[in-house]
Amino acid sequence: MSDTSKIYKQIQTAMTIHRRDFRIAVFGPIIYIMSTISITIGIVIIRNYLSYIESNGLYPMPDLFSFPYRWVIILTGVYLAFSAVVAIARERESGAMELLFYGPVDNVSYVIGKYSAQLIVYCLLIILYLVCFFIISNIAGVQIPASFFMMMLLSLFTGAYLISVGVFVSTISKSVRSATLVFLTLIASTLLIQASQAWLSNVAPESDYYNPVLLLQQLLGWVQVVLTWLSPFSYLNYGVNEMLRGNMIAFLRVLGLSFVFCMTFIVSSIIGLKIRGVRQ
Amino acid sequence: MRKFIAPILLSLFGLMTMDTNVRIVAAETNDDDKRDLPGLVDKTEKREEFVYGVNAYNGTLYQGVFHPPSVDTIYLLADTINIISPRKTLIYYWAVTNEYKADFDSMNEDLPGALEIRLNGNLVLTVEPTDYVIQYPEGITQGAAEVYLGGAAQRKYGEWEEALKAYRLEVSEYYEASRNWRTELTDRVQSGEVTSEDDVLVSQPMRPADFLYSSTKVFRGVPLNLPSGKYDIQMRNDEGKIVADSVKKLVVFQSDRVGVGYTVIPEDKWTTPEQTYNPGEMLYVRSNNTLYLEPFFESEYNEQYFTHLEAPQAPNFVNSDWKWVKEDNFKISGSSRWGRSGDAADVTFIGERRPGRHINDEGIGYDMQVIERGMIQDPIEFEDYMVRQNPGQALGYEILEAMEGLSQGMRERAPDFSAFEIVVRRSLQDLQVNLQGDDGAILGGSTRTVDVVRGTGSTNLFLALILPIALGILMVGYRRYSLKIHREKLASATIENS
Amino acid sequence: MISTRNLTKTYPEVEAVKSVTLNVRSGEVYGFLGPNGAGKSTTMAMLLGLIKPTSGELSLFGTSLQDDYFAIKNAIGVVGENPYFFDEMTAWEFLSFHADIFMVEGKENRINELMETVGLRQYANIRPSEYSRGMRQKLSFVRALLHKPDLLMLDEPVSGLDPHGIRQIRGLIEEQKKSGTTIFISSHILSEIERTADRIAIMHKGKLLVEDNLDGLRYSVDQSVRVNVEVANVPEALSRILSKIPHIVDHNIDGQHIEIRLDASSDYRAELSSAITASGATIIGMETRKASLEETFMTFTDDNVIGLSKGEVQ
Repeated sequence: MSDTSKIYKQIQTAMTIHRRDFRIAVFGPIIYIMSTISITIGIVIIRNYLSYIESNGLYPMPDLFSFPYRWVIILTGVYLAFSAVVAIARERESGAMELLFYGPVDNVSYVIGKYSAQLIVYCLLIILYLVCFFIISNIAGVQIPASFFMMMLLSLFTGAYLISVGVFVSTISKSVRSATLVFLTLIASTLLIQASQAWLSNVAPESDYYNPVLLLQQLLGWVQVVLTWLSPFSYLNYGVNEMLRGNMIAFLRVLGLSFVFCMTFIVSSIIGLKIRGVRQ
Repeated sequence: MRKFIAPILLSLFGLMTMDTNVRIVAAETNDDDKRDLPGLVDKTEKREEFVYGVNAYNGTLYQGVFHPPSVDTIYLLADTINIISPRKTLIYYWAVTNEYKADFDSMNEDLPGALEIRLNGNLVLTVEPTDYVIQYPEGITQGAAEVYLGGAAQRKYGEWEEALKAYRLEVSEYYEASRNWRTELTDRVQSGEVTSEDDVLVSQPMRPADFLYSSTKVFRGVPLNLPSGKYDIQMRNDEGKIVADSVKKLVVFQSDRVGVGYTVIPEDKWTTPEQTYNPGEMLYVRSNNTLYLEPFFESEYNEQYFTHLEAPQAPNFVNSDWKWVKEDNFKISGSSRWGRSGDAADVTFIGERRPGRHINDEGIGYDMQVIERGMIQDPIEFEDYMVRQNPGQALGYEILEAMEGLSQGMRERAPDFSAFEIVVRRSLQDLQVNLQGDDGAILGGSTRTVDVVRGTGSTNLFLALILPIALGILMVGYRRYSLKIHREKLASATIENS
Repeated sequence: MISTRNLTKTYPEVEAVKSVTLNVRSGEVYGFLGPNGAGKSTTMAMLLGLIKPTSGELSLFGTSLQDDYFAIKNAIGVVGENPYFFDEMTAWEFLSFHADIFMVEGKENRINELMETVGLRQYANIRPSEYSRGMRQKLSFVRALLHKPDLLMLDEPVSGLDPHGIRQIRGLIEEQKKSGTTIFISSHILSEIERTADRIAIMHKGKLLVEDNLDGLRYSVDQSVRVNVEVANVPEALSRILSKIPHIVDHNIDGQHIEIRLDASSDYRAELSSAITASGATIIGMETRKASLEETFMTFTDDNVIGLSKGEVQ
């Protein structure tokens, strides 16, 4: 089989897997429940802002919608990444992945098919959010600024990155339980390290030099620097801030880095699946 | 409180570094904290250490800080004179604030030698300590800081002492004149000569203007004026040896951007103004409101660098953001004309130029340009305002133009603030404001968008939830319906076959 | 069709498959026998490319899986031991999805036709999780046959089915056999293999012990022919006479039943009949009995025999 026809076949297979997963997601109730919860949180934040403006007469900020939108995106991204984690790990655990690999499905087509389905669902949800935010802006009587659309573009990249992390975790995990555990541990440890670092920076060591608390502060600081370089949340935050500062080079750099990380995790997922195998 | 919930939530997901809010600021070098907690005094061990005392310029004034051996980097602003003073002193760890403190009262030794500055390992500068004095001719809170070195330091300090002496004499003369005036006034009142208040006021002695001129003593230190870059600093003593703990990194930085910030005073809550730093930021305002915008110059710095410039022992930032720093260097012409005579002249808002940093030239007056839906409106002029408390049961206040205030008898007072007034009508749309100079140029970073919020935080906002819910019902319902249809089709096909 | 050479799979704790060399010919039904844990599933997984062999070579349709992955996979239909499905899909959607994976043309007709054949058409819009075990196995067959594969690989296809289900599956296998499909059946249900397989391979403890047709297997286990004779009377001299006949390896008289093992080098039944009659016995019946696959299998998987036959059977 020539390389071209192999790639064609891989694309065809990936598309089939993509369509199946996409249909399951779109015709199932979960994403609507999740998006309703996300938008509810966004609305609660916007309500708080509006109430503040109402009582104080004024609130200067870069954009009324950017913070609530970031929350909506984080919840959606985490959900879809988690959904990818569970979907792939469950298929392996139940033997359904093996069933697929009886046929003309390989690591590349499987990973791409699964990933692209989540990504397209994510894109559609972003469009849904855009419409919802337009409705909210009309009810609130506040205009959506142009920067909001840039943020949507950014959220596409950081969300794509987050989902790729979920796919990677699931391809290297043995079971749903272990994949869920790894994914939740990743999220929890990120939060824990940040919280610990913030807390420890306020803890006064009893002595001065070579104090274990100081050492731990330093250590957690380094870990957090690494997390900053890896975390999709950090990229979202950094990208939004730089965009609002008008630093388009930094903004494009975030897009580029998110894309590179996303590709890295997809390739790692393909390799991970090959090493880990399709059987539990 | 509401607006602070969001950043806390955000910090949990790493979208904002929490430590920016909990940073320990201001490394004071005195023992005030310790004196407040006498029980802790005995627990601190003092030891003799080499430290760098630094007078670091922060864009507005000189901040006195010290760098104990535990701090490995000194941060300074580029292209300004900063003073570094190598000292031997007693330091001790102060657990309450998680930092070292210096007891300069007990030991404050000048160290002989020279500072060496290296860039990429190459020695680029060797500077020896000299006398210096830092002065604020117009006061610490306004006007520029001036640094004098060597002989000039002694001379300027002498001038300051002379000025202080002259001021004290003036004050003394004023009190003397006041006493005489009261005596004379009492006599004239008793004799029935004084008939109107005005007569008395006219003849009252003038109190000398406050003595704002401020100066440090003459100290010894090493002046450094470096371009931005990452250097290494060390001290070599007279014996040619590197002084222990003197080797540190030296980060010299400049602002990333400059702009114009505004203090925005809402008419109905003038005691709780908001500040807007980010150029291009939105001002979300309630309709039917009046806002007063007080502009100020500002510079944006790397938050990590700037924070450590002012507080060297602050914890390191994990994610360094950017930080706007207010620099009060807009001047108002005519402000000195406010006096008891009440003849206020027109006030002009004047921008001051610092070379290479701001686009406006010194002496240019500015108006606020208002653009609504792309159409330029009449410019808004800079005005002085007075706040008049309403007497009696009707608690409250009103903001009056200064001239109007004067006509209402508030003559003893200078204006409460000077600002551009924007009346926010409900009909306003797509409003953009910026500062336009006499020469027609827009002052960089002065643009803000005013968005009039017509709605409120009502429960109507939750109507937006109908969309995902309806879509969900539609899709899930369609799936069930299509399955049902398919099932029926199969059932009828099976019957036909059988 | 399938060819392996010294195929080996070693895990850290165990050598699951030890240097297996087998050949499956085009159009035949190949029975792959072995007790649980013999290494059948591991071998099948390697054939399907699901796990990578530690060493050895394998080829399908004359080429390696790496060289022509998609073409080979498109020509294989697999029924696994456990019928796996996707929870969210109905049977029809499940088949439709697989038809898309294999790019089956006219998929709706093909699905309907196969579902009709196995009697599942009226249950097409039900989720497979609601099916009985037999229905699910039939659905797996339908899935495996959707794209008309040249090679059908069946792993324990009738395991856990009731007799009716077994008969239906057997019918499907026979149909495929008639249509010329090569069938590779891995099973430990010997009766099914005995009925359908043209050639049989026996695996035990990771080794392929033997690969031959059933008669060949029997012969390799036992070179004699068993004859059961029923007589009306048993003269005293009968045992002595039978002992003297050179082609009789062994005999056992139990009442009127005589079990005799004859040399399989030729058909000695006429001589045997004459000798019995000559002894004065009257023959009521005579039956030649071959060793069953079960007996053969048990013989092969008996460790002692393995020890003896090592190196001889392959």
